[in-house]
Amino acid sequence: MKWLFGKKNKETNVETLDSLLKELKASSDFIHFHYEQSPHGYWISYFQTLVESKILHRDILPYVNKETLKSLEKFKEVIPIEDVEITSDVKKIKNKILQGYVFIQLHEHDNEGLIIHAATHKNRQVSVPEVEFSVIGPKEAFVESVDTNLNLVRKRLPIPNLRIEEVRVGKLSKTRTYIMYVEGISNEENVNTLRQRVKGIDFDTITDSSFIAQMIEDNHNSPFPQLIDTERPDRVAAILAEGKVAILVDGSPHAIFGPTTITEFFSAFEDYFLSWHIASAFRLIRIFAVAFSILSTPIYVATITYHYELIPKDLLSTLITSRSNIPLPPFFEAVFLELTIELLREAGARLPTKVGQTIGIVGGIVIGTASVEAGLTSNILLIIVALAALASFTTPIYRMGNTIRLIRFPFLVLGAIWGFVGIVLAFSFLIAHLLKLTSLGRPYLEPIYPPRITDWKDAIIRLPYSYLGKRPVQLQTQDTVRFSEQHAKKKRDHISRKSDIDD
Amino acid sequence: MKRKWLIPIVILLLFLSGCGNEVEIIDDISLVTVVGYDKGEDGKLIGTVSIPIYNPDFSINTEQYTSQAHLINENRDKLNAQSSKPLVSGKLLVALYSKELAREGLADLLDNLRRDPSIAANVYLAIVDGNVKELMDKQYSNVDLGIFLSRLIEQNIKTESLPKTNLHLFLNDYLEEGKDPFLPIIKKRKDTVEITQLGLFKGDNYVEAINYKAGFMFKGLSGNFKNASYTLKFKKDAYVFIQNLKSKRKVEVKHPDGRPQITVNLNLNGIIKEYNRTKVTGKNIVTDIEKKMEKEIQVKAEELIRRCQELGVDSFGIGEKVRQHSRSWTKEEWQTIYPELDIKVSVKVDIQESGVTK
Repeated sequence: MKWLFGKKNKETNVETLDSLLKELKASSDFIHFHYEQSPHGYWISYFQTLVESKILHRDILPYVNKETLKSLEKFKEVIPIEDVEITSDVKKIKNKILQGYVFIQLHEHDNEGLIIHAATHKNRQVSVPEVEFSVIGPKEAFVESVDTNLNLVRKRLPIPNLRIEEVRVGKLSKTRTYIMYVEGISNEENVNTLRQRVKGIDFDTITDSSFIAQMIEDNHNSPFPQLIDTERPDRVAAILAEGKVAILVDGSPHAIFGPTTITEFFSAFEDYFLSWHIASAFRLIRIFAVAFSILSTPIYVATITYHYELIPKDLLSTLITSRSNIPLPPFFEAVFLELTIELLREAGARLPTKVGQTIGIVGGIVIGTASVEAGLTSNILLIIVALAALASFTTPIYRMGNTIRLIRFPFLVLGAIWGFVGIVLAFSFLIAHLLKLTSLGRPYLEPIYPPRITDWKDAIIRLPYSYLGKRPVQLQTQDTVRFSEQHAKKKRDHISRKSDIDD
Repeated sequence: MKRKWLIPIVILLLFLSGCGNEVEIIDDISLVTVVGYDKGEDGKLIGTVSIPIYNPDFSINTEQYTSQAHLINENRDKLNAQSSKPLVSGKLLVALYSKELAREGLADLLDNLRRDPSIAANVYLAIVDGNVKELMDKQYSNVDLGIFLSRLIEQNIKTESLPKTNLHLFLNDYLEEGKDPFLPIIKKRKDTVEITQLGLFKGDNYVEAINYKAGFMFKGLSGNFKNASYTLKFKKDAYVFIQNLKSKRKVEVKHPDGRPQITVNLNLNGIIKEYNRTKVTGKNIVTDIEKKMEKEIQVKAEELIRRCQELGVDSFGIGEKVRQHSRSWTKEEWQTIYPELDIKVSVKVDIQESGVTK
């Protein structure tokens, strides 16, 4: 059986410092040299590609020259860098060198040495969010460096209760992963679940937070994402304050958070910047768009194929005329168009932006009109399919949008086989699946089921802030009150009365 | 556990796909929008169906097929043999019957419409004065015959004097004890079709027609209506046109168990739109108009009720109203006392506005 599972990837055990240095020297970017100018003959070793040369030349090398520094202890006292340590732990030395520390020995074969932090940070500048862009509101987005990202969140929540726990994930990548939550607000159970799952990950390289999201989800076989990913630090700060738990991963410009509900996937963070009427209206439009996107093509196909009785008499002539020259049955016609749209989307996503736009025009206008004129598809179905595709793009969370586009196909197939009965069947399966789904052990369909009236205030619609005094019941937070609604009202009334007198 | 369910589902999907609905792709079927029946020789029915043909250039032709048979479904089979696409009746809009057939009773013919689940309950029914086939042989204006006829009836229900009628309501009236149904009677003119009369039924048998102009009264006596209009001859050469007429009917029943005394209260209100004499000013003229109209409507309504009583036809559902007040009501007894009953009509007209000028 051994051939099947392969050899266990054992970490090479470095016994001595000498053998470690020997092993590292095999890489051409590893520098290990005797500093000749120094009167005491220091040995310096580091990875050229990990170390900031400015720090090395400004803060380390000048001190090495000084005659007075005969021992490592003295050296440690003088050097203007905080993260300095004398150690003989070979394993530690190895890890630190690999993270961009400079290692200094007095003599070549010493067992002890000084490790000095001099890691370089090559970062992208903090830029405007692209996936979750909002017209109003902050325009900062996460970058690939987790230190910057942590800073972006922490400066928004300047409280000591904000806990950040580091977990290293990935046997090879040893990716720095941070679990963030607010002590005293978020439920311990949620934090423990998340911590346990993150620690339980067994994988070689973690490239992005989406890896972790997929690995720790409650149900791996569900097409529905059970954790939200966001690139907005303001959103992460907001959900932490709400009592949720977030994960930041080094090298990933997306944070993931949970527990979440299905309605949260259809609320854009911009909703909180707009007045509540408008935000509620936009959310309703998005929900409608989802229903339309999933159901419109299957209902069209089912109606045209089986249930002609349902077509209003005034629509008959439009529908029949549009189909009068089409040789394909409605199902194949719909599949043809749906696939065309998916091809366009996929081609647009793979190509560089400028070419992608051209593809959009070619596909949308040329293929669309040509296939109608050629009599391959009816223009009404073309309109429906295009609208359904458009509607699916209104979902704010990209991963959810993909799911919406995917689950349309089972509906379409069942609708083509059994008509409306098939659509109802597919819908029943969908509902059953969603009812069973959980996010970090919390119900996914909440507040619709289990029905929790108090959580409706910020689900499908968003009530004014004065009604959002309580944290969501779903999260079972330790501190359930965000602010006292009565107290806030009293305060508000007091201010307004005062200003009346002043006038 | 999941695997256990997956396999049966896949098997069901694969093998039961034939057990679904019948495939009726909309452009591969012939939608029958109008059916019409004439009386044929030796007890046969002449069935005619009208089918719209939708051309790619958005124009519409209609096709008619006719055949003779004893039964409606037998007839349908014969018609199917003539058509290039299968005939389906799920989009039936109007069913027409000749006067002779209606006189003999419509129940058996309507039974076919009732039994077919694909046929809607809001199919319009009408009696044709003349030959049904002849009426259906022509395409009126540039729309399909079914849409043309259904719009004709619909429009008259909404704005004119035709009380609401369709298959469901006809059957409801027919099956209800103490009410008799009615149907519009249509007639072919040269290039168009017109509603000329209202056909009164006793049970399912057509009895007698009343003039369509009396339809206003008929509608008021059968129930409430909104948005009607009325022309009143006020004085010599002085006419008043009253619009937005709303009417509420209330039937009062006294002594329901003995010899019932019935009063039909009609409450009308509307506005004066046109008066061809002088300006409508002063309260007196308006009250005069109200009084005159009350009198006129009362006379006409009582006349209409008396005529129905003579025919033994209870189109206004007075029997049903009495039944609501009485435990001992029987259909047989009602039919004997109905013609001699004293039914009064009391009308109250309220003219709310005399119009606004710019």
